[in-house]
Amino acid sequence: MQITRPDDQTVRLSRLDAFLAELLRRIPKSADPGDNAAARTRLFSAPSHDDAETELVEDWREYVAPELRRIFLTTLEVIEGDLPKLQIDKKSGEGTLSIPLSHLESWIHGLNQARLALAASHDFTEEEMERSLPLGADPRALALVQVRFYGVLQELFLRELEGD
Amino acid sequence: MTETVIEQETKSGTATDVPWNVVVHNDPVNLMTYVTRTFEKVFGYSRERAEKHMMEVHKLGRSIVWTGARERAEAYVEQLHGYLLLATIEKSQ
Repeated sequence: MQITRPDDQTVRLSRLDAFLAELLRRIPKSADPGDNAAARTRLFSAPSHDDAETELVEDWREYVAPELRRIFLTTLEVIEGDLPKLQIDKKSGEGTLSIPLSHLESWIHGLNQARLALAASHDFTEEEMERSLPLGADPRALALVQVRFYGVLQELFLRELEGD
Repeated sequence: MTETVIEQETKSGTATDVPWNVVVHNDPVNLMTYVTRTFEKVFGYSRERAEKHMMEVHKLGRSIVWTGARERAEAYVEQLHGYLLLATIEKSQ
């Protein structure tokens, strides 16, 4: 995979093999916690650990969480809007995706959301996060690859914004 | 009656005047660079100060990133949750 700036308004991911292209397509679905309680708890965390703050926690659930949900959905809509522009070269099979620089913040947030939702729903330990799981039929191993690949993308995009 | 009103105001003032901490807790998934950048964006901290708090979170498990009025502390926690950081408010000791 290669990241370039074809112009000052665009970031381009190229030389994406079929596997990495598929991982990109999975970002929105992976970022959606669905009915998974652990992922939902992580994405919509409590504003206090104090037992005396039950009112704040309840108000947060009622008023703040829906607003956060709206923000998270808007972020993912940006990514979903960019993904259909992923072009696959028929000859080489490699993919190229051009992302407007103005969308990079949404990508960074969406990738973060996907990483957190995946880690929570698969209950990865800190130790697991630091080692490789053998890729096989184990869906947890694929999820771990996703978490890592999305982390690499996040770092690359953050660097692009820093250099902007 | 006047005295009662004054007492209520005093109690109310005491409750709201307690400084509140905004605490960010460690999360093994969030990237260090992402956390640093979030502190810069939310609080307007310098890179150096943002990195200091990020390292506290990473090494100590938590960092008090801001202290002040409750309402503003809640607003900061909401912003940090928008960036998916684990943040809470707590009374300042």
